[in-house]
Amino acid sequence: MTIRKMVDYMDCKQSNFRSRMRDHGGKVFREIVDVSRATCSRVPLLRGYAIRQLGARKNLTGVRIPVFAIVGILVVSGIGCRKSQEQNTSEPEGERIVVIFNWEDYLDADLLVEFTRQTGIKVVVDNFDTTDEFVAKVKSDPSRCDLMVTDDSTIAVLRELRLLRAIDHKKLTALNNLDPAYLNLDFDPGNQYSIPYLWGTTVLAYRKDKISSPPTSWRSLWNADYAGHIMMIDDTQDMFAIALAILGHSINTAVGSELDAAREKLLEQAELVTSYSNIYDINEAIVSGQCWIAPMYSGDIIADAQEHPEIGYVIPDEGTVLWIDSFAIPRDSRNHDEAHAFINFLLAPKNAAANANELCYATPNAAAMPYIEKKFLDDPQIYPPQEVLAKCEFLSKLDQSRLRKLNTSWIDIQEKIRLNKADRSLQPAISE
Amino acid sequence: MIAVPKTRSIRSLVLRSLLIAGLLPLVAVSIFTYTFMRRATVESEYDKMEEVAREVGREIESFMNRTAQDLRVIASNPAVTSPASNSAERDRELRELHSFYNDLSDITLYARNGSVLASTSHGYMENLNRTEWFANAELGDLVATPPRKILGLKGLYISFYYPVRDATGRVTSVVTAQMPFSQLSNVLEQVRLGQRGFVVLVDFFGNILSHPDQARILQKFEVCGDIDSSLLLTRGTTTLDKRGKFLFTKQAVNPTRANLPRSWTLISLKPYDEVLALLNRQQLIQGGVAGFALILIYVLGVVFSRNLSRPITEAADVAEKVTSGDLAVEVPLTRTREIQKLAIAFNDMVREVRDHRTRLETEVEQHTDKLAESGDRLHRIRAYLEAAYDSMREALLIVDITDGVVFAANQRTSEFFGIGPHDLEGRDYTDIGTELAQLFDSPDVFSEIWRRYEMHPGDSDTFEWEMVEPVSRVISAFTAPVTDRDQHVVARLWVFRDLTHQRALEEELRKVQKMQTIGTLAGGIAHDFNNLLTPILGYTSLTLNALPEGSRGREELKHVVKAAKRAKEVIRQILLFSSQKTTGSRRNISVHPIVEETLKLIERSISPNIEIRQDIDEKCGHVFANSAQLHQVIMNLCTNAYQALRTGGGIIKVSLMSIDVSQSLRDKHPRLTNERYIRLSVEDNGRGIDDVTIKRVLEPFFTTKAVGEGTGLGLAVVHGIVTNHDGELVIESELGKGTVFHVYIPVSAAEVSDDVSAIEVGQGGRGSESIMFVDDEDDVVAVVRSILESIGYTVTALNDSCQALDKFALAPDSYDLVISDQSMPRMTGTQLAKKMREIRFDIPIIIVSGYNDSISAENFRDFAVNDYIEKPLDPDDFGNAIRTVLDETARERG
Repeated sequence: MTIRKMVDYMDCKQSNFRSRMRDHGGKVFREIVDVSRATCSRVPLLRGYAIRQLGARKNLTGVRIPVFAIVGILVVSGIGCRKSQEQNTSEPEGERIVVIFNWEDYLDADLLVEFTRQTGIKVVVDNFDTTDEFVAKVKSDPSRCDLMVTDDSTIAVLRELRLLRAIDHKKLTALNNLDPAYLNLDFDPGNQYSIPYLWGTTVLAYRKDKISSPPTSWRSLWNADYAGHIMMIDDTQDMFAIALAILGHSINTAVGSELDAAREKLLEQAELVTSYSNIYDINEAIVSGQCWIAPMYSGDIIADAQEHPEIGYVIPDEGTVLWIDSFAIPRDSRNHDEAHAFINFLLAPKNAAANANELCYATPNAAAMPYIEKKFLDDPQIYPPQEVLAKCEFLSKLDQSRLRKLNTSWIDIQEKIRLNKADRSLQPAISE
Repeated sequence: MIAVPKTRSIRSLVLRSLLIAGLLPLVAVSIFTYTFMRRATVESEYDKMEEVAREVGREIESFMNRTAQDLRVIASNPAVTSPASNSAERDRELRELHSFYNDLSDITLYARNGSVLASTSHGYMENLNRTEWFANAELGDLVATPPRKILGLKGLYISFYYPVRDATGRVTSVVTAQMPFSQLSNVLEQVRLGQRGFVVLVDFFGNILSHPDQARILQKFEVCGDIDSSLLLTRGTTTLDKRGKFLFTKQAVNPTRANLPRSWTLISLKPYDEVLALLNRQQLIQGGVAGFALILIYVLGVVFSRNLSRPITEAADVAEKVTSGDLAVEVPLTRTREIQKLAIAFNDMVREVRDHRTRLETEVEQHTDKLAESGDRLHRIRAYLEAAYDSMREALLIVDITDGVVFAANQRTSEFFGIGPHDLEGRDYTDIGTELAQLFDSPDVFSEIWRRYEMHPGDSDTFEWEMVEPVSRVISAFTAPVTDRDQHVVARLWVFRDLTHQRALEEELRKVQKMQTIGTLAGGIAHDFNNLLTPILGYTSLTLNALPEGSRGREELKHVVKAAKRAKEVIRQILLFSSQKTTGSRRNISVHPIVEETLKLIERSISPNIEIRQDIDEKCGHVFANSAQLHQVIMNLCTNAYQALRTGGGIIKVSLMSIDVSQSLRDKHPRLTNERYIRLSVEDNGRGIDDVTIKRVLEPFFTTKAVGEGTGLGLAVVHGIVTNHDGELVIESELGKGTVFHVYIPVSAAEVSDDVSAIEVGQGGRGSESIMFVDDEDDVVAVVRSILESIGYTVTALNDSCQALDKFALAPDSYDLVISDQSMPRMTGTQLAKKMREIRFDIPIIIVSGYNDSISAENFRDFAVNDYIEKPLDPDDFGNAIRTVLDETARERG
C-alpha cells in the first residue's frame, strides 16, 4: 500500500469513527493517522474533530500532492472509500447514493448520518480547499459529483459555462422555508440553478494577545509592525476586494485605473505577507499564533474564537465581501434525484438550524430562526446589523478584461512574494 | 318462426368475386415489392450515413492531429521552455508564436505547481493543476479537452495540454492552447444528409457539442427510443420530438487517441420519410394503378350485376307489394325468356289470389257485422246481469272447484262480511272459509259445513246461521253445485240471505196474535161478567139503600158493592186491553196537556218520598190519537213507576219530546216505520227489571206484585194502546239503576182538532120521565127496572129488541127516553136506535154495553145516539147519565 492510499484509507476510517474518537479521545487512531501523514504532511485537527485541508498542504518536499490523491473523501455511511468518480458507477445495483462536493467541514456530519437513516441514500463527501480548485475540478469533470456548494459569483460563472443542471423546484417541498431576501438574486435569477445554503462575510481575524488595540480597518493588514505574521487568502477576487475597499472603490469595479491602484496596494503589502494560503492554513496559523492578523471567512474564525478566546474578529469599517453559498447540481450529475432529496432535507427548519449552529454561519432559512442559538443571533459578526450590511457587497462575475487584469496582477504579486521569501531565506546565509 | 339465412345480393356477390380475382394478386405483389425495396433502401441509407460519419470522424481526427502538431512545435521552442527565461521573455515569445498559429486563441505556459509562467491573454480562471487534464499532461501525454465554454467568450473551445520537457526528457512545465471549436463545428454543421438530415456530435455524457441548432449546444441529447450516447446500437430508427421518425447511425470519434477514455459520438440522422421518398412515390403510382383497376372492376361489376339482378329485383318488389296487400300490380315482362316465364306464372298466381281475397273479404265483412251485433247484445246482457247480480239482496259467492279459488262475488258481500268482491275474487276457498267462520256464532260448525263440499262437490243444502260480526244477523245460506253442459261440477255457488228482518216480523206477528187471542177471550169474559155484575151491583145497591143506616146488613152490603166495583174496574181494564183492534175516537191532538193534567192527578195521590220531574217539550208536535187512551197510558206507566218506588222512594222522570228515529232503532223495532215520533218517557230509579222478567212484562195478567195489588194488565194495556196507535213501547232496564219506558207515537202532520181531552163528568139526578129499557138479559131488565123506578122514572122494560121496536112504533111519543143494550140477538142496540129514530127522529136514546165491540164512549155519537154507558151499571152513574140526556134534550127542544 502506498503512503497515499494509506492516508486515504485512514481518512475514511477516521470519519467512520469520528464520533467515537470525540468521546474517547481517539488517541491511538489519531496517532496512526498522524504517523501515516507524517510522511506527506502535517495533520491539524481543527475544532476538535475535523481533519482539515489535507490536499492543500505542502508535503515535506514542498510539492503539492496530485489532485486525485489528496482529495479528502469522507464516506459518511462508512461502507467504503472511493477516490474517483468512475468508481461510483460500480455501486451495487439499486443502491442510492449522492456525492457532495463541498468545502471541508462545511456540513454537520450528524445530519449526514440522519439523512442516510431517513432516506437510505448513502452520502459521499468530496472536499476542495479553494474556489480555484473547485472550479478546475468541476470544469474538467462535471460528472464527478451530484451536489456542490459554492459561492454566488462562482455559481454565476458555472451558469455561463453551462456546467449546471437546472433545479427542479417541484421536488423541493420545503423551499418556502427560505427567506425571500436570499432568493432571486442577480447571480441566479429565479434560482434556476442554485438554492441558498449559508451566508457570511469575509472578516478580519486577529490575535488579541499579539495586537494590543483591536483593529477596525483592513489597513491593519498593511501594518508593518505585524510583518511576517500577516496572511492572505489564496483567492484573487477576494484579496482585490480588500484592496479596493481600502481605496474606497467598489469591490466589483471594472475601471482599469482603480484595479491598477488595487494591484499596487497589494504589491505594497507583499513584503509584509507571510503567504497567500487557503483558509485552512490560515486558520491553523492563527490558532497556533504564527499568524497575528488575516482575512477569514466569518463562520470558521468564529468557531475558532469559541475555543480560543485570544482570537478576535471584526468586520472592518470599510465594509467587506458578502457571500451566499448555495447548493448546485452539476450538469452531468448521475444522481440528481438524490441531490434534490438532500437539498430538501437541509431545507427543513431544524436541520438547517442544526447545521448553522454547528458551523457558526448565518442561515438564509427563515423557518430555522427559532432554532438558532441566541448567542449566534446576537453576534453582529454572524448576523450583521443593517448599517454594516449596507457597506458590504456581493462579488460579481468576472468578465474577460477583469479576469485578465486580475490574473496578470496576481502573477506579479505572487512573483514578488516569491522573491521576498527567497530574500528572507537568503538573509541568514548572507548574515552567515 | 322461420330462420332466414343471411342474404347477399347478386350484385355484391358479383362485385366481390371480381374484386378478389382482379385485385388480390396486385395487392400481394405490391406488398412484397414494397417490403423488399424498403429494407434494401434503408440498409443502403445506413451504409451511406456511416460512410459520411467515418469521413467526418477522419476530418475531426485530422483537425485534432494538426492542432496537436502545432502545440508540439510550440512546446519544443527553447525560448518558451528554457528555465532561464523570465516571465516577460516568455510572454513575448508566446505572442510571437501565437501570431504564427493564429487558429489558437490563447497559449499559456504553466509551471508544474499550476502557477502561470507566461500567457498570451491571461484569460484563464481556474487552477489548472487540479484538473485531470493537467495531471495527464504532466505524465507526458497530449491531452485534448472536450469542447467547452470559456468565461466571457462566445462559442466552444477545445483546450490542448502538452508537456514541455527539458533536455533530459523530464516534464518541466505544461503548455496549453485554446482552439475555437467553431473551426470543426462549422464543418459538421455543413454536413447535410439529404434535405433534412444532419449530424450531431455529443460527448461521453450526451452533451451536444455540435448541432445545426446553436441553442442546443451543451444541452443533453435526449431523444426517445433506443438512441443514446453509448455505442451499443450503432444503427436504427428513432423519433425526434415534433420532427418525426429518423434513421440514425452512431460512430465513435476519438479525437486524440490518447488519455481520455471518454470518446465522442457522431450521430447521423436522416428523416425516414425522406429515405423512403422514392419508394413511396413508386408505391403511390402502384396504388394509383390499383385504384384505377378497382374503379374499373367496380363499374363493370355494377353494370353486369345490375342487368342480372334488375328483373329479379323488380319481381321481388312486385311480390312485396302483393304481400303488403296491393294485388293490382303485375310483373313487367322482359325479353329474357326465363324471367318472362316466371313473370307470367307470377302474374297468374296474383290474379288468383286477388279473386280469392275478394270473396273472402265479403264473407268476413258479413261475419263481422253479425259478430258486432252479437257483441253488442252480449255486452248489454252482461251489463244487465252485472247490475242484477250486484243489486241482489243476497250475498253471492262462486268458487271455481278446479283451482279452489273464489271465481266471483257480488257487491253485497262487503255489506254481509265486510269483504268486498275485489278482495274475495282469487282467494283460496279454504282461506275464505276460515275467515268467514269468525263472523258466525259457531265458527266450528260453519267451518265444518264449508269444508264438507270439498269432499262432496255435488251436494246442495240450505242452512240458517247467526252472524255476530260485523253486525248481528240471521243468515240463510244456500249452496249448490254449478255444472257445465255435460253435468260436470265446475263450481260451487253460495248464496247468503239476511233473514233478520223477516224473523223479527214473524216474532212480532206471533206476539200480536197472542195478544189478539187474549183480547178476544178477555172481551168475551168481560161482557159476561158485566152482565153478571149489573144485577149484583144493582140489587145490592137497592137493598143497601133499603136498609137503615148503621144496620149490620147495610155495612155488609157495602162490602159487596165495593167488591163489585173492583170487579167492574178489572173488567174495564180488560176491555181497554181488548179494545186494541178498534181505533176508537181519534183526533189530531197535542200530547203535552194530557201529560201535564195526568201528572197533576198522580202527584196528589203518591207518597211524598217520591218526586216527579217533568221535561215536557210543548212544541213537540201533534199525534193522531185517542186522548182518553193516552191518558190511560200515562197513568198506567206512572202507576207502574210509583209502585216500583213505593217502598224506598225515588224519582220519576217524565219527559216528552219529538225525535227522529235512527236506523239502528228502526232495525230493532220494525214497527217504527216512520221517521219522526213523539217520545214519552217515564223513568224511575227503582231496582230495575231482570232479563227474564222483562220479556214477560207485557203479557196480560203477568204481575210481580202481591195478589190484590195489581191486575197484571197495566203494561199490557199500555202496549195494546201504543201498538194500536202505530207506535212502539220500548223498555230499557238495568238492575239496581232503574227502568225507563219509552212510548213512541208517530207525529201527525195535520192540524190539531178541538181539545176533547177533558173528561166528561156526568151529573147525578132523578126524574119522572117515561123510559123504555131494552136488554136481552132478564136479570138486567129486572134490576134496571128496579133502579129506574127507585129514582122516580116510569119504566117500560123489555127483553126483545123487535118487541121493543113494535111497542115504540105504537106510541112513540109516550116515551121520553129509550135505553137499549147494544149486544142483543136479532137487532143490536144501534140498529134499534136507528129504526126508532126513523119513527121519531128526536127520541133520545142511550146505549149500554157489556163490552166494547163496535160502539164505545168515544164514538157513540157516530151512531146517532145520545149517550153510551158501559156495564155493569152503577145506579148512581146510571141515574146521572139519564138525567143529563133528558135535560139536554129538554134544552134543545125548549
